[in-house]
Amino acid sequence: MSGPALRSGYVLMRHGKTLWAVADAAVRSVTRVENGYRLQLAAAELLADEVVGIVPSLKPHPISPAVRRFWAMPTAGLAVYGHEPLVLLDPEELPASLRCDPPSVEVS
Amino acid sequence: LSALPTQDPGPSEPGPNATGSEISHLLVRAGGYLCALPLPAVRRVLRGVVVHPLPGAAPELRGLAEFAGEPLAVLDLARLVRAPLGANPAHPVTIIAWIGQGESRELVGLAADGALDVVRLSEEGTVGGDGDLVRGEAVVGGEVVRVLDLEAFGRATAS
Repeated sequence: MSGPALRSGYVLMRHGKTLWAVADAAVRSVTRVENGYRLQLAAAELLADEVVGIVPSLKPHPISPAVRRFWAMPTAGLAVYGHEPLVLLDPEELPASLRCDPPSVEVS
Repeated sequence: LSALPTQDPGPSEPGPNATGSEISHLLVRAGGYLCALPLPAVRRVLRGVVVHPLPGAAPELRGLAEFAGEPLAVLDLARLVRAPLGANPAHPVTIIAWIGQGESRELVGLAADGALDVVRLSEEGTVGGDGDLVRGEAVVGGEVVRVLDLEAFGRATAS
């Protein structure tokens, strides 16, 4: 994850029963934690049950009207890895259900 | 994926058995309802499709599957037509079909509890309807069948 500045590809991760992908360039670090993995992005930290790997490319598809009608989660589109569909994450707009709980802030 | 016998007349052409206002329909069970899907909109009938659920999705959206190398939304047909619960399906199927129209036209999977038959229905023999997915009701073999208009999917919410 700490390679050259210009990186392409996607990090594949599983959270729940769903496969997700986020642009490799957006991932700053991956840390093993007790209940899975934490992926540090610029805007937030994601929690994954499993990091499946890194793929050099995916063929993105826009979210179809049927999916959009019944699923309001922000995404960057859909794709397929192997024979499994996956959801592309927008690093700038990550779904709350994937984010790690924000650290508590002490107010004095 | 294993395919059942299929007809693929294309997304917008009349089916091979269409005559006058009579159109062939695929008869399927969806929960406690029988539904008729216009055969020209049906591309394939599959069983054993693996569906990957999406967290937080409405119950009408079962999840995503892979079809022909592309992601495919799989919708729950019984939920779409607000069917009451039916018996546990012995041979559930996923019907790959075209829904919507214009820019919203897309290929989806419709999860159903079984594909039963192909019947010919006329527009004159269909009554009622909800202005959206259900064009109306017809009687086939003494049973009420919900005749679906897949092109109208989403029309009620889009307008």
